[in-house]
Amino acid sequence: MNQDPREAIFDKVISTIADIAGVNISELQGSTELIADLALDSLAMYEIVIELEDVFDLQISDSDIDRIHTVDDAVAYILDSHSA
Amino acid sequence: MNDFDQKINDLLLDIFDKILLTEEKALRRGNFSDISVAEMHTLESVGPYEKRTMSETAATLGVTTGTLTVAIDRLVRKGYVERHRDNTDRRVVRVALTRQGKLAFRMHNKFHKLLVDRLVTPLDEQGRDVLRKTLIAIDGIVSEQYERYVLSDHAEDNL
Repeated sequence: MNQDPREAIFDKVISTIADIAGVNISELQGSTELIADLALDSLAMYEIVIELEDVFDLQISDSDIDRIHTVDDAVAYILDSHSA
Repeated sequence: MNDFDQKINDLLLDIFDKILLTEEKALRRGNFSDISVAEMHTLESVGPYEKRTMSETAATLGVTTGTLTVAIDRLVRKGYVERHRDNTDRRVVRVALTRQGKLAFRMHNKFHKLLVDRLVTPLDEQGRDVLRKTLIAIDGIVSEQYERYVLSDHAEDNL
């Protein structure tokens, strides 16, 4: 059975974030706040952004980064970019 | 120079010096202490996405391809830039940022964004318009001098 596209993106996003933030995937949920909950600094945020750009073939601008606060925000952004 | 002109002159020189010095210090204290401001600006001209040719990049920076080659060699050795052969014309070399290069580019952009935000945020619409027009005028005058001195030097270098 094919995986739901949102679920597939969600899985890739949390695996990327877990890798860079040095946390276990099980600790991440859609509502997890990247800066407030994971205490990511701007360097780690950019590492995540660059990895997501590579994986999903995207270009994420700085003003778009300012709107991505949670894991769900990142997933929604990627879904929107792919459907645009 | 009268007092007003002297003040404008002092402010311009002070802004130019402090931006350069702050960029240099910010780099030295940060995660990219092995590159200079000039090298960071080379990374900016390569850009984070497209693989650019050496001549395109040299034109953006306003330097000769010979000068750029030296700078790119250094950035390749430091792990910020990689060279690629063009897919359609193998004679053409393109340059692109590595992951480390993209990270440095992003962090440096953040420095500029903070600077502009601090400057622009307190201004109302009218203030922003005055600032924009003033900076355009300054840029026009500086660009004229740049073309006169720097570009004519490059033309002589290429003879």
